[in-house]
Amino acid sequence: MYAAPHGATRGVGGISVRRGSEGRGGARTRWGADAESVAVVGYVGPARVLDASLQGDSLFLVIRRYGTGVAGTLSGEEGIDGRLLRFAATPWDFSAPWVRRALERAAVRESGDGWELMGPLGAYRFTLELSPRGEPRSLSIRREREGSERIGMRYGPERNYTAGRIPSWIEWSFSGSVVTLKVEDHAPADPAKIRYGTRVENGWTILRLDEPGGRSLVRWLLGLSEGGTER
Amino acid sequence: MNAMGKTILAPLLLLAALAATADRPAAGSTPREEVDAMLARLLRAPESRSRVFITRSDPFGGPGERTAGRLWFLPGRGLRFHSEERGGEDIVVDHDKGAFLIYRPTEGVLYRAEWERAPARMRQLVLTPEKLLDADYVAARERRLLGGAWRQGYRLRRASAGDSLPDVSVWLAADPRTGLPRWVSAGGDEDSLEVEFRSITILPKADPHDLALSLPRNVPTRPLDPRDLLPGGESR
Repeated sequence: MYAAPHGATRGVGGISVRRGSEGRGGARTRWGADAESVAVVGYVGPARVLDASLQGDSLFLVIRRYGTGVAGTLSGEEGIDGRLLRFAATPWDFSAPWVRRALERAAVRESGDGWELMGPLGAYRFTLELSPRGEPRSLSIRREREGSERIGMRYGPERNYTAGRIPSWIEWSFSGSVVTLKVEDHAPADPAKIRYGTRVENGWTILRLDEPGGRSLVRWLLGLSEGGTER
Repeated sequence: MNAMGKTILAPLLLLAALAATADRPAAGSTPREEVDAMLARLLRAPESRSRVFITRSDPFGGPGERTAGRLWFLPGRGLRFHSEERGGEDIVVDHDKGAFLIYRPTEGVLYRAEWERAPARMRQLVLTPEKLLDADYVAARERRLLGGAWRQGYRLRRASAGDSLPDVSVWLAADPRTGLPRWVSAGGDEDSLEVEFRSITILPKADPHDLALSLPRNVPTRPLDPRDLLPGGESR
């Protein structure tokens, strides 16, 4: 069911972020997703503080509060390309053809009372744990030929939403950060209402992704260390 | 995403962006003069207190979201927004104390920064509202259905709502009982914001204690300086 093709969707949820000893934070988020693209808006109270979108390998991100953002093409040179980031952003959605192919070709074995699927996912390797009913329990994605976990995801129990059953919460773990999303709404969307990119206002500074400042901004937002993404 | 709450002060910034200069006539017959008079009462007051209800639309077509809070505005001194939502923020900018404070109960942490770190538009609103008051707008009378009743208000063009809603179309209306601003709505090409200022009280004298946060004991304080981590950029 998670891999079934579907139309555009939108969602609402609460996000909490823990970054090691740096404490925790939280925000509200809304998103719209259509095929290989996703747009996300973050709020603190009713104030819109962050816009981010991914269209293929094209990333746009701005922190409105500071009028600072980054835009550019994910080159994959740091091991992150657009489709991986897209999948990692909504990891309940296995419908992308390249993800479906990876699932179909994965090695399957029994694991506890459920199943474990393992195999290549583009330039990465994945391990997906499923419940006896086929619901995802956890997913880890790491680079080929590297043993350390790059990003890990845990899935909460399923809940029925307007757009179908998906996990009620998702937890991402990477580079010492833990991000939890509690899904409040997941509904079909009008693809025309999903906008990618945002009008850049006068005075905003939009850095290029291929310059050091742009990469620093992305790393800071994702809670990644300067040295790399591995734990 | 360290607790750098972009302020919930959009309503005040919105008003400031719309407001007329303080030396304009307090009353008049044109829509523009009527709007000026409505806003000048608030901006010239030593202090105003208000409950606010803020409804933000969903840019992806879902239902909107409503937030309730209290607002204290002391022109020349500072302002404070206290969210009444569970776990909501308390935000203070206080020029006399040189402080920009955000308390987030969910984290149990008080974030502190210097006055200069507060958003520039907020600082201007507090210190020199007349400099924020963009006179370059046109007001036209327009009735709208709001809260189950038709309200006489004003549609304003070429107004800016600050950092939250660029290129917005703004409509505002006074409370018929008081003549003070009551409803403000701002819509951009992607989303919209509706603010209701309920029970605005104008005080004859400012009470700086209204800018004081009521914090639990032993709340840790941390710096609010995420911009230090970013390559430049003044907050706006």
